[in-house]
Amino acid sequence: MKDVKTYSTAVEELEKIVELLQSDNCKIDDLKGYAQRSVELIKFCKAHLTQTDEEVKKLLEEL
Amino acid sequence: MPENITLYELNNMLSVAVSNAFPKQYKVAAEISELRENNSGHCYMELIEKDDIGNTVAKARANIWAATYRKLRPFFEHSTGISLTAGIKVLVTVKVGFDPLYHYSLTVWDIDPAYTVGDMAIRRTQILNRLAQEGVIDDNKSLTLSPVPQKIAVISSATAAGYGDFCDQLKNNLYHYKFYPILFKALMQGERSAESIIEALNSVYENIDKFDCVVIIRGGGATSELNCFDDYNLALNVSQFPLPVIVGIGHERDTTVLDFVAYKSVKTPTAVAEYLISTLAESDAYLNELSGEIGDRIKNLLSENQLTLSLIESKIPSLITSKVEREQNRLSQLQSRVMVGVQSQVANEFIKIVTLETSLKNQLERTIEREQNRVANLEKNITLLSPDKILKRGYSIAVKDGYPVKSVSEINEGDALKLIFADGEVKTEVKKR
Repeated sequence: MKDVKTYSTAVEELEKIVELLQSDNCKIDDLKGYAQRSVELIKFCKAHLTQTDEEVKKLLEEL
Repeated sequence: MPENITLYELNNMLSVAVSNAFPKQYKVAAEISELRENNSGHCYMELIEKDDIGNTVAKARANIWAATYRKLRPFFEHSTGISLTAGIKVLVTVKVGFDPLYHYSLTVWDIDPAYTVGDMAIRRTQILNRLAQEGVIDDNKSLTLSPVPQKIAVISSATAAGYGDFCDQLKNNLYHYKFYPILFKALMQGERSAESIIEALNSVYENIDKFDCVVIIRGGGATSELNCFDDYNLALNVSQFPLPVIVGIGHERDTTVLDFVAYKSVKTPTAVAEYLISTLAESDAYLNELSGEIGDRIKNLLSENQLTLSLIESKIPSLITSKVEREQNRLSQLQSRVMVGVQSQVANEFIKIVTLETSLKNQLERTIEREQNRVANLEKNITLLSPDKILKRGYSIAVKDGYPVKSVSEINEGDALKLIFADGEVKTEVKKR
């Protein structure tokens, strides 16, 4: 997963893709790229919601 | 020497003593810290009094019998516009009593509505006014809660029933969302609790980057136990805390200053958990919405494109046909122009030929005429030159070997001559020369 650090940035990017897709200057050639990227982002976000992040868990338990 | 009596006897003595000592009714100012009705319609209260710095200095149980309560309560509420509930200060007319089993209690016969704006409410109002004046009352509310508040600093007492409920609720949520609640222990009741909660907030602050929000929870208790949450310092700390603070410290009837300043206030720890879960569920739904929107949009763009393509495709044959037709038109126009050109050329040539023919004919006729004249002249000359007329005048032509004889020297003796006359010829012989 390239360049995605947080849930919020992932959602922001998704929103940008939606905006781009709705704009008039969306190129058909780019559609595949957008589709792939949004699948990646959605997967990342869904995993964020439902999969245990062991790193976070450990970090917090050390407190 | 002590007298031997039963506990009941002793309590009875106390009861009589109290009756004798307090024969009158008294008007007592106190705060209701707790109020409950039972099924029979009796009302049981706890009355308290505090000193200037907020310490409870007196406490008494009081009851209003159902018959009185049925009249008192609506009257009070109608007159004051507020409900008769814990947290308000009242001026009650009471009779003091002592029951061998239930001990000291007051029986309330009247409440003075005019007196009632309770000390707790005044203090609360004062704290809220101060926070409002300082411009901090909405600071925590104006923060933004993470769309995925999963890392949760929980301020509670480990033993509080509410904490267990909260953790269970988070762990067993319907959607299987993951939460990371970390407990920061604090006293949730008693005089030191505000201070203790502030200390816990400071501990959270040291690790602030690791958390999405702070949750302050405790199971519901007596209203008097909620007094600690009507605290200026605590309210200030919460309002100024850089993470959203979500509060679930009591039940429906309990509202504290803390509830006013917190980012979000709900009734119970379980409700806090539900709030967090629903926040994640909203984010989840939003994700689905985005995902659907992206899918739909891509599909739309593709089908729009296909439409454009097939539109172009469908136009091509007619474009070609019309192009061909145009070319055919041009060709036939050219053809007809060529034809016209050719025809006019032919006509021109025809005219030329006719003209030529005419002039040729004229020329010919003139030539013929000229020749005829010439022939006629010639004929005339020939007639003039012809020997016929001379012959008729008596001359004859001597012919030797087919040629006319022009001199005697051409003739020898014995030559055969032919003599031609106008009307015939004779053959002769030269006898002498």
